[in-house]
Amino acid sequence: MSVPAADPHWRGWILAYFYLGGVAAGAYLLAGIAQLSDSRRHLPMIRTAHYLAAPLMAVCAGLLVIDLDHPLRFWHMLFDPISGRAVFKPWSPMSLGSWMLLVFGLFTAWSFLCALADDERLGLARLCKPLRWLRDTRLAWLVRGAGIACAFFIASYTGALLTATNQPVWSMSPLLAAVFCASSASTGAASVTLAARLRGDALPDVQWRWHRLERWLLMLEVASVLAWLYTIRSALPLLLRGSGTQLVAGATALLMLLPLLPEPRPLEPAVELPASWRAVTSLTAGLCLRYVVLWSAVAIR
Amino acid sequence: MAQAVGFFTDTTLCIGCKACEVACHQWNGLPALHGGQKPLTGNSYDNTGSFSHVDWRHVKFVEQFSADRGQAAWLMMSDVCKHCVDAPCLDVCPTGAIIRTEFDTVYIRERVCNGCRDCIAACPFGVIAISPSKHVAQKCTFCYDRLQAGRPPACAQACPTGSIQFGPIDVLHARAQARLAKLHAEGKPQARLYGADDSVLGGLRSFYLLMERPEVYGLPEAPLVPRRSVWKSALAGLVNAVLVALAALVAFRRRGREGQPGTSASRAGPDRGRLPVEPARVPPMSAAPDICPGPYGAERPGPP
Ligand code: SF4
Ligand code: SF4
Repeated sequence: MSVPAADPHWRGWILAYFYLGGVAAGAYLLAGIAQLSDSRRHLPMIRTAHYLAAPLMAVCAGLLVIDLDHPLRFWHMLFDPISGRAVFKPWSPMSLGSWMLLVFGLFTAWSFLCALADDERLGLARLCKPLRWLRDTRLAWLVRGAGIACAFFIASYTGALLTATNQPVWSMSPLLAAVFCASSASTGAASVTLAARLRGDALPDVQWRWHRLERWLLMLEVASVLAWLYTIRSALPLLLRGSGTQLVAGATALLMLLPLLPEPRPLEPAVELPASWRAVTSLTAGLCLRYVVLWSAVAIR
Repeated sequence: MAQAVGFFTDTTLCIGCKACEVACHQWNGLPALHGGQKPLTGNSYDNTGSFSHVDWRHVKFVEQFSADRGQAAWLMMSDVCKHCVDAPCLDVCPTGAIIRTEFDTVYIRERVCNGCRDCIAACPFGVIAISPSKHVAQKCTFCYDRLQAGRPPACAQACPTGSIQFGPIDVLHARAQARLAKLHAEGKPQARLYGADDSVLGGLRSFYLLMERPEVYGLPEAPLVPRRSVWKSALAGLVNAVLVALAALVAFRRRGREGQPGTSASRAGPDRGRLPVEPARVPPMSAAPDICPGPYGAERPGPP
């Protein structure tokens, strides 16, 4: 297919950012909702999510800077170097995303510190007092809500960013934002359940609830991907003409569906958890999905 | 604002001499790729191939033959940045490096660009490329420096046939309509204008008279304005955000007095009436006599 639009060469770093940013946002937003619903019982899961989100966001910031052709000018995303004024274009997903990344980074850093303080690590016990005070104010609920909203934005905006182009496949459907939102949430849940197992301090029934949620979110992800494929159906024959693309797309579909297979025997929610491979598989599926989406604009040329 | 200017490119007058390409290179100090040793593309007389960080003009050659090869047509077109009215590159550029000048042209401020390449993804015409030495986005400037000095762009001045015409945009539109009417009257109904009205990206400041469908020249029929897709994406994302939130609320909801030791609800367990197993490292929170709020807004054991 002859495509007049040029290839922006968004490859490895961007793929890694889309994926890790999605995992971080997914983990954070679910932890936020858990905090709102039943924070006491979910505390270890919430802490696990907060321990994951902040370092992942730090890595994401690094990935985005490395991907720039002029990395030292990363701050131009926020400020005009000539006028010194802030640059804010809400209609540009990349501009809005840059600001939201900054804000979300602050939220994750705060939650990370809170988790450390709560675990009384790194001598942060002294921080506990002001943090507790902050958490107890009415404002805290507002801040928590804002953090969740931010996380939802980070989870989805990368899809909107791809749609707001003139690239083949990406620009064909606005559903990419929905696909990335669902995928971020499911990989976020999978990362928290896996990490919580390693930490081993969460109640099994709580872990069970997260596993069940992970499954629901994966179903939502599959449904969103199917809807997206429907909207780009005219491009599918061209897209799937190469055996390489067929292979990757097939592997992605398999990885998404495998964790949805029913358990070989009914598990005991209170004492038994689904096998870890399910979480690992859905995490891998999330990565493959982003690869397929990013690569689709190249594969169709 | 100074008067809006533009290019009207009458492709019927182009002879493929590439004087415009040479003039562009010369005026803007753009070196030849590969030290001038360009391999043959095998595509007619086109050795430029595509736009690049040093090729801001590109003369396209389209050879057309009838089935028996008895008849041939040779279409030529000098392509350039369209300086779109609803410019997708300008829309998405997160740094504000891409601006609209007082001449209503689209210009990249090199000192501001950080090479994110969003503009490359957005431009439907494949105009923008990153310079490997400057590490910033590059494209036709509409000879901004010459415009400021009251001179026409180098390419338009060099074009020997008048295929590239420069002037105030209103004058060019009127001239294009007259030329189109003349061609139609001469029995060439296939002649058409591309980008003269606002149907393509709100109008192109560099618009064309074509003798074939736009795709034949490698031009997109209906390029998209990125900002128009944003609200649709936001809506789609919001729908799934609501579904995710609902799923999480249902999954995490507490049933009755579940989880509080000593209650029947806690003994009934979360799902099918099983007792949650107390994990090794979780402090017996509710067993603590003194409960104080933790940093998570949760209750945790207070000081002994
Ligand atoms: S043709 Fe491309 S680079 Fe030129 S103004 Fe339009 S979108 Fe921008
Ligand atoms: S590469 Fe430069 S001009 Fe293009 S969008 Fe990014 S900052 Fe703007």
